[in-house]
Amino acid sequence: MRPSPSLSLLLAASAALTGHNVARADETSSGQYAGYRFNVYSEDALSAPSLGDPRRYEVYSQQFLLNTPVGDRNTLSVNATHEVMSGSSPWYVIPGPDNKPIQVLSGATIRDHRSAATVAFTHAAGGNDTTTVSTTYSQERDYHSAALGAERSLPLNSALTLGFGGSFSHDRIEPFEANLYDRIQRAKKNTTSAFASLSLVLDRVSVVESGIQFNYQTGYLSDPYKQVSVGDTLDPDTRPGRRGEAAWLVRYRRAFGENAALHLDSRLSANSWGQHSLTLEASWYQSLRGGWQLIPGVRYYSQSRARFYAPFFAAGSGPDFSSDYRLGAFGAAAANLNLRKRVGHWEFSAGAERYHAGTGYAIGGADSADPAVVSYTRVFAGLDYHFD
Amino acid sequence: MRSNAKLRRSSRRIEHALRWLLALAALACLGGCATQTVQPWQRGRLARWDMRWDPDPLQAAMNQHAYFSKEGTSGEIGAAGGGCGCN
Amino acid sequence: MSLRIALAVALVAAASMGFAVEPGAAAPDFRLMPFAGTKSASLSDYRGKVVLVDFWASWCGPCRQSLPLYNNLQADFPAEDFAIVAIGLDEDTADALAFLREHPIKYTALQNPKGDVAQAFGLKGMPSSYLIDRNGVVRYRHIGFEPRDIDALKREIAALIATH
Repeated sequence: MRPSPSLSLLLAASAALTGHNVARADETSSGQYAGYRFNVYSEDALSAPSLGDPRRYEVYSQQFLLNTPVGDRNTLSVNATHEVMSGSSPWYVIPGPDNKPIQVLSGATIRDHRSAATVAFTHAAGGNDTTTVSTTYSQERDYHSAALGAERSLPLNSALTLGFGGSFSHDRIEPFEANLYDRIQRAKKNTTSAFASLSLVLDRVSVVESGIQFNYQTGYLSDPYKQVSVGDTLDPDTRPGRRGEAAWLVRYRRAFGENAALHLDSRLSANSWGQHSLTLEASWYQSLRGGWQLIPGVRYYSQSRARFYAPFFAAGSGPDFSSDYRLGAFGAAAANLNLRKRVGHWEFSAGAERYHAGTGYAIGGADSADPAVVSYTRVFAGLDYHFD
Repeated sequence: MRSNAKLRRSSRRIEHALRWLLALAALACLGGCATQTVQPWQRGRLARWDMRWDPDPLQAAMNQHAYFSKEGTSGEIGAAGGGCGCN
Repeated sequence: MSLRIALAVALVAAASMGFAVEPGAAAPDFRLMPFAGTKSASLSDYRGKVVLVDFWASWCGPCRQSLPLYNNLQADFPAEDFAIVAIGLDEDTADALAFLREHPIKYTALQNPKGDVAQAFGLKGMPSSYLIDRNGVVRYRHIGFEPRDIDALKREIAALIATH
């Protein structure tokens, strides 16, 4: 339950371009447009030894976006998301014969939906100096989150642009069936985050950006729906009451001729729970005749385990313990392909991603193969309308 | 304590990785990192849709949401949004 | 030691600022081909009129707003007193032509894909417009464009037409 990074991308959508000296944010304004996406997310059934329904999560989600200029110098961006989730979820892990971990899943009865909305307002002071303020609200049956954010993009000279900003979010969780399963009744969590970045125009065809991001969370950071085998008992998932995280990101864009561009993104991150991770992404944007765009991409991810993670624990361990696979060591390789076609004011898009995770992908390996590491397939279809 | 030793080991590993990355960046720069001044009228290619940090913001938001839900670390350039019960 | 560093920094800064045509300076002459037609045009052809020289490109957002609005500007003043010359800086002329097809303009549009005229004027941003008086001297320079700029432009043009 960490802050969702989606806001920054809506702010990217709302970046209005007025004025001169296009330092970075060279992008011609997106203008007034509306977008819709339908996404299907489907996890592979669990192949490792397990108990309970091995069919995992399926999520259907819809996204709506409206981007519109307000007067000469401002842009308003409104985004809404609605998701319906169903499927079984990892619950706890027990040691099987040979101490091999066996994942126990909840029944495929979890069915929940989430609605979220973000409103962002960008003001251009002229010369590509833009400031954006935003607010987000997300709601599920058991989880509510409200956030406020602000950021500024400031050209320092014709080649360098400085970006910085921060956000704060306050989350509340009220797990369902709390009494039935001896879960906490309600809890809160606060997250503060800040970032700073510098982008540099290298030459007429390439740009690079380097940024750092910090976030700090306090409150209830455990998962109330998960339990942990500690000796012979099942204890609730117990994580520390605070977590700090820092990340260093570098991204690079290079145009090849008039019809192609290469995107390279990397991220190194570390947190106070002992995890560190590496992410590498590459995409190729190819324009074809007739207004088509073909965009293949790959992604590699590797993370290490949290100090208090293990599939199961000996009696007397603590004070913190969790067997959530997301706190374990694993890695993932993903490949994706997107297609876009512009027809007059309309733009059609569609794409798919195949994400394969496993402890074998992790740099440095993993002491224990977590049974719940998940692979998935995602597909989407989208429609955009450009008003001008 | 045992955990302190592990912390020291992992922070040394991060230092090592960072030093490697910096060395790589320096090497790449030897090939010509000195930036050329790009005049305002020469920025046509930089202004293209496929040269944006995020050409498709809706798609990028969904990608980040998926990775964020299924992985243990996150972080992007830009102000973070609200949370969800997905993770 | 610090003085030498300060001097060095100042020199580098001065060098990077580069040359720019400021109000009060004579506008550099140029001869360019139009997008439509075969007869080249030069700035000196317009001597005796007030001229708005506007540098644009199809990829520049504010330029896409300004060019259609300048149609009205041309209509507001007599043709014998005022002319607009829009210089297109697209490296790929096809992009500029596509833009002009979508947004027809009623004034002169010349092409300068090499960008040497922009270099001669020392453009600091896109778009840039220069208001030149009847004697070929730059009187006003605007960097960037917002629709509200049209009112200020009208006042400046009227003032320049009135003076001889």
